[in-house]
Amino acid sequence: MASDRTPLHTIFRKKYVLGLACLAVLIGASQAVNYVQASRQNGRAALTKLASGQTALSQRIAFFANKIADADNSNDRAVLQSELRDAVDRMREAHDILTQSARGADSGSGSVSGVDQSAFMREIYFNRDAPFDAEVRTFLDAAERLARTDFEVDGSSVLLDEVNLLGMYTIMQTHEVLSRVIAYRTEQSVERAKAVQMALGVLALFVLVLEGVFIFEPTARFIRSNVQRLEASEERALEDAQKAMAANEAKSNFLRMVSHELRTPLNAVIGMSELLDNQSLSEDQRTYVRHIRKAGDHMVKLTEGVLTINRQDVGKLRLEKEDVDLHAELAAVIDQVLPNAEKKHLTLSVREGAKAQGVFVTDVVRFRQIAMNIIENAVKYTDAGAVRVSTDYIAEDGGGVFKVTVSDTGVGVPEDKRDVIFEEFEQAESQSERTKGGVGLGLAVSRRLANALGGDVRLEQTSRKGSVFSFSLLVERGAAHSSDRSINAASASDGARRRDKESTESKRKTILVVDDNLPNRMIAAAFLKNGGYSVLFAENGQEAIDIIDQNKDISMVFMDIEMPVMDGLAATKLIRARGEGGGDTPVVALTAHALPEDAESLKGSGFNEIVRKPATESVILKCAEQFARRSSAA
Amino acid sequence: MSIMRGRGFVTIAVAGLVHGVFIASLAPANAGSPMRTSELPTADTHDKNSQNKNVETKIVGSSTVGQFARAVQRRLGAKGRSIIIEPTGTRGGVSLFCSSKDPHFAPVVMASSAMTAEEEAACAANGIGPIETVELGASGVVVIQKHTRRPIDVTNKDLFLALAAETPVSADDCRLTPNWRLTWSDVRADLPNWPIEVYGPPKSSGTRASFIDLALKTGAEAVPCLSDLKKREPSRFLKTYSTINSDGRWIDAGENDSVIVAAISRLPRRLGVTSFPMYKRHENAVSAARIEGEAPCEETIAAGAYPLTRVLRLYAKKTQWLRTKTPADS
Repeated sequence: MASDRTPLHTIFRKKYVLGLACLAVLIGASQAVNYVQASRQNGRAALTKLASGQTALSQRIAFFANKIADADNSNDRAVLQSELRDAVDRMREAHDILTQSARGADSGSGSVSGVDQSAFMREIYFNRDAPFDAEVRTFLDAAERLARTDFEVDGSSVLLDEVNLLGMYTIMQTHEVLSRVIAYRTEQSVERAKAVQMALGVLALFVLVLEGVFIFEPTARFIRSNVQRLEASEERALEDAQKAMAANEAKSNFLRMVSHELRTPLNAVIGMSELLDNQSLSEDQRTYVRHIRKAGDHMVKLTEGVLTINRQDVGKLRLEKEDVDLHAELAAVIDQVLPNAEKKHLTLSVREGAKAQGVFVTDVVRFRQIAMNIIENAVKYTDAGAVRVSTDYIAEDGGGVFKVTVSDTGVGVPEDKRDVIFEEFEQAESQSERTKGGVGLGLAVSRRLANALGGDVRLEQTSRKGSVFSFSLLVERGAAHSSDRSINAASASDGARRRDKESTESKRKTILVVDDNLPNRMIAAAFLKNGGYSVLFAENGQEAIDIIDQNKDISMVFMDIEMPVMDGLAATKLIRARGEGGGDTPVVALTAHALPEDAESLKGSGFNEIVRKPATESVILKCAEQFARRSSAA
Repeated sequence: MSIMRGRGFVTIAVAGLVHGVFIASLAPANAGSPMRTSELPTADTHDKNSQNKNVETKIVGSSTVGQFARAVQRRLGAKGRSIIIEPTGTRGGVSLFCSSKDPHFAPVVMASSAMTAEEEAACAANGIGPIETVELGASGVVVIQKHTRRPIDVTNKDLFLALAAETPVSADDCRLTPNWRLTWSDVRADLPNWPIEVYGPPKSSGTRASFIDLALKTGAEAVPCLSDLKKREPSRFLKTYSTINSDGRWIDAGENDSVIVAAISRLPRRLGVTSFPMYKRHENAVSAARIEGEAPCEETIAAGAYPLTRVLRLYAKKTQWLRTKTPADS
């Protein structure tokens, strides 16, 4: 398109310049014609005036000559002679100018310039047979002799006859013809100039029409069609965008649905393997069960990763920034990874940067996700040695960068994979990946999240002896100390250890588990029974309401969200609507929403807490411990 | 000379020859003045006190005949330089001829039409005479227009109806009314729609007299009732055809025929009246109108077929003729 536009643009500009030049030339020509015409007119007017003046002067001279001849006394004659001399002088002067003009424009001063009459006047004044110039001078000489002071009446009659004859006929009439012809030619040239002006005007109009037809109209058409094309393509683009958005929406809906649907069976897989792990098993059986559990965990992470990437694609990634103690969060993550590291006898240490102390404003959930991913990876790819985590803070204008560096003594990243490990659905080494349990989408997701928070994830250096990864976030210094938000995560692993103590206290408490999925019900029941609770079941919201109506001693409810007949949201709403009659029964949502922020959306719907599936035994029991009402059973 | 072509020129050549002989007879034997005719005559010409050397002789009259005179003068070379030829028109020339007794001023007059009875009387009254008449030959009066391949074709009657100051009401009703015709197509429907504007010689001109005598008189005679008038009242008839309209249809253009040619060659749709030799010399600038279907040329003029054919003459004072002729013959 751009290559098309450039020559077109040039063509139009050239055409415009050409069109304007044509008009300018026409206008210039018109002005020139006017100017030349005007100056010629002036010259002709001057000539006509001179010639007419000569006509009058020749009559005047003849008149005075006759008066002199008739004069009675010398006084009168002297006055008349003076008048005659005067007329002769004037006529001679005018005659000089006229003959100069007749000789042509190159004759210098004294001629009337800018006139094309010289050929005609030359023919009259200087023709071979009877040059008018000579006749005029003969006439003037004769008149001059009559004006002489030594005038003698006797010798004057022939002179007088000559003056009369020439003056009254040839001199006067030739001047008359001269002025007539010049006047006629002036008229002609005015007519011609008019015609030329008219022609120029018509030509200008014609050029305008041509320009209209060949320049302006095509340009307008070009612009019009381009605008139309633009509008059409804009419309198409809009449509495409809408289609793409719809497709994307469909895709993300599909992904969400798939993740959601996957999590329900995963809940069963993980829950059941956890339950099995607590049974007395042979060593082989235990190994199998643990592999099942590990595979389940990995699948859960994959669903989260897929959803996060998709979420960022459709622009729905929601960041919630708050004051966070990032070192506390980092410690919680380390706590979670620590068991894996201990299994491999790895040293896992944290060195907190001096400048990195304090509270920062960022999205804690994302931070945890990134940190978990990077540190988990380091542990995963290191078979011996140490994983060292260090933090630093680099202050910048309007904020700063919180940087976490994770170095390991692992296998390193092969050179040809260093760029692709950050790409989605790429893995460093597919063979080794299988043995390592797979990095999955971890680095790609982490980098996306870090980017969303104004930072990045980098492979700082790598060799066969180890790698250094770092991630950074753009943060602001927080005002207050962080809330104890991290306690949930930090204390989650403690839950199992406290189980024995809790179980004795929670006996006699009845907990209602509402879930349409039988394995999920079984898992929840098994966990709760392990904690010493008695469990009732409902398969949907309606059943749950009925059971609550019949059993006043239900101390709390674990409520699935998506169920047939009546979903968890509606059921909870109904429970809350009861007021005194069990309206304050604690309800904990057990949701298959794969992402934390989706689970958060259930807040404010009447739930006391929201727990994502698959929930571990410790999480379930911790909730039960926290919410199961002791009073109702008592 | 361009006009010395064709058989028809014989007439004019003869006229020129006669004229040349005559002018030669006027030239003083000792003529050798360096002064050229185109230069101004000195004040001495008429000064009685300075007749001692190189006396110039001025001859006057018809510019038509003047052209032949000049041709002869050029042939004479140095001998012709003391002669000054001043075109004053036949009538003006005759007037000067009859009033001057100076042997060097108008001893001869060139005439393109004959002297009238009145002029002869005036000459006699001034004591001029006897007068020698020399017929030079035939020439023509020509109606010219700007050069064209198809010149206008007019009749004498057309010319009369176009130029006369007053014309009869109709062919049968001879009551005269002011000429109402403004264009040639008013005169006759198949003539062009040109304004009637004719440049011609003034009253002092023999060519004009010839034009009136030959064209307008014949044209008037072609109108039936005027033909009757001629028989009944000759003087009124004369006045009718010889009074040229002076309201701009006829423009007196001076005695100088070159002026008329120069003007007409630049004025389309206008006519001029001049002599045949002048027309002939400017054939590529002007064209001659056909008169009664006849174009002027040497043949038609020599044969008298061209309607506006007239005789060119010289009039000379016999005494001076004899006096100046003698030294030239010697």
